[in-house]
Amino acid sequence: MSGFTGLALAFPLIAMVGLFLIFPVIKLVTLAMGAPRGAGNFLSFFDLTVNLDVLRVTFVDSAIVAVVSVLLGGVVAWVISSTTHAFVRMSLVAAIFIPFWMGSVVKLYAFTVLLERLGIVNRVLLDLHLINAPLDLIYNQPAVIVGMVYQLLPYSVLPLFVVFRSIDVDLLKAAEGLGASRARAVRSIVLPLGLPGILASLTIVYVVGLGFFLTPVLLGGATSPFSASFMYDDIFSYFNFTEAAVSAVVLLVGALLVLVIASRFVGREQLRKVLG
Amino acid sequence: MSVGVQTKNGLFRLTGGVACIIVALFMAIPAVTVAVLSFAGGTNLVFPPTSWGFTQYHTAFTNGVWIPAIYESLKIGIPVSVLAVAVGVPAALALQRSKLALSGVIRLFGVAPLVIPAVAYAVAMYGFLAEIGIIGSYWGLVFADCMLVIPFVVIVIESSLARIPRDLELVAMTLGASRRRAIFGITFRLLLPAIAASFLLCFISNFDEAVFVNFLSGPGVTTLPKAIFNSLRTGLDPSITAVASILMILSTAVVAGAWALRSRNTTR
Repeated sequence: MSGFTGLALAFPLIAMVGLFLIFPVIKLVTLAMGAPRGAGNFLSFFDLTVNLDVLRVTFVDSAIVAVVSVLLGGVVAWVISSTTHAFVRMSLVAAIFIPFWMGSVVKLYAFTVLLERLGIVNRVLLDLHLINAPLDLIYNQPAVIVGMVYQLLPYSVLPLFVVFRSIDVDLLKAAEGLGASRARAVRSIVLPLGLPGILASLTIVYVVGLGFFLTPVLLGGATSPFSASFMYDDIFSYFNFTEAAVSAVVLLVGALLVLVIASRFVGREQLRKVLG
Repeated sequence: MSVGVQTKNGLFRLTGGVACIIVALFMAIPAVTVAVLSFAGGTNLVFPPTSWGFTQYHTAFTNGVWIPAIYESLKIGIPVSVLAVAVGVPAALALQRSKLALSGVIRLFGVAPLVIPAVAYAVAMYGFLAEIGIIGSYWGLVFADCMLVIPFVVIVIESSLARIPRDLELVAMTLGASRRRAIFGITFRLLLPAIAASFLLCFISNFDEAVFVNFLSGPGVTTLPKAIFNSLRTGLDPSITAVASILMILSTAVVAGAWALRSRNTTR
């Protein structure tokens, strides 16, 4: 096909992207830098300690979530790709992916039922006399982190499985034949060969986590200091769109920086592979 | 193998096994809880339930909240997926099979919505839709949601196209087919399962979309995730468990179907 036919075929996508992605983002930036104080909007944003706290919590909590998801997801993906027992593989796949399709809001419902003050976990612990009074398991940051890991873990298992499966098993056998233990063989062969894929998964999970809205609102409660809830309140409770736009731009720039740094380290192709 | 290596290997396997069991339990317990509670008899959420029955399923179908919400979700999800396929398939074809200039940039923007923090994108979209005066409207939400699922179409179709040998088209043309006939008769036909798969992926992903709908739709548009979100904010309605259990089974079936379709033309 000629470049011209190609352009005609790709035109709807280009138009959609221009109208519903590039233009809104430009609009967002101009609004954030518009009234009342122009670029000074950002200065006043960073002047407030509460905003800095919110940013810190958002970026740190998402990082914890990404590391935990990739660590646990990596172990699971490795077992799924290396086990010789079909039963183990099938039950792991089922345990990870059936809840994945439960619906994002329903997952949070399940966690609320489990973690509430008089929820299932507290009742079981009380009945077993392990605790004397109900624990505060929900409406705090650990609850948000647990809830986010629950939703993002499958996102790390799938690409890591693809990464591990592409590693030649004979290399492992060779290492073991030369006297290496399983752990040593995995450490010296699977980790270095899989590193670009592992880092790429880490990046994607991190960036997706930054944009989470429902989990902080529902599991973090009214006091959850996540950017997402602040933006929502700015728009719908305080009708202050500029403030929300400033937060959104800061979050976007942060995410973009992470992606740019990551693609420097592992390459853009690798990041794309993780998405497919 | 020396004894030292064997113990080490045993320990390694044990650690991996324990980690997997913990992860599997962590993932399964919330889902199983929801499924078990959906068969609870009363209107209170007690675990384990004191009585059993189909009360939750009965309430879910008759209380007038969930059925309209599902209808609303279909009303958004079907046009969104149709539009995404209509836009994404030709674009993927152009990216894979033509000498399109700047194809790398186009592809990058095509999949970008997957990695833009959803909430920041929602704020940007809110500003844009408010500016052109369609905030809270049906079509505003449809176009916005469409952007979120186009990446699936581009990715699935491109990877499928990469596996359909180009030579087949050339063979057809050598045998006298026109270029158009070769593309539609060969490539497009081999692509059909992937198109169906990408449609299903778009639909199932949009069916679960809860961020854009909260930011961009007025009180008039209450899709299923938004209805669940609203009811969660006001209190715990046990009939959600029934809706969730049905969703879990249906979504798993749809996704399995999409996977089967997707792998059909890759194994060939």
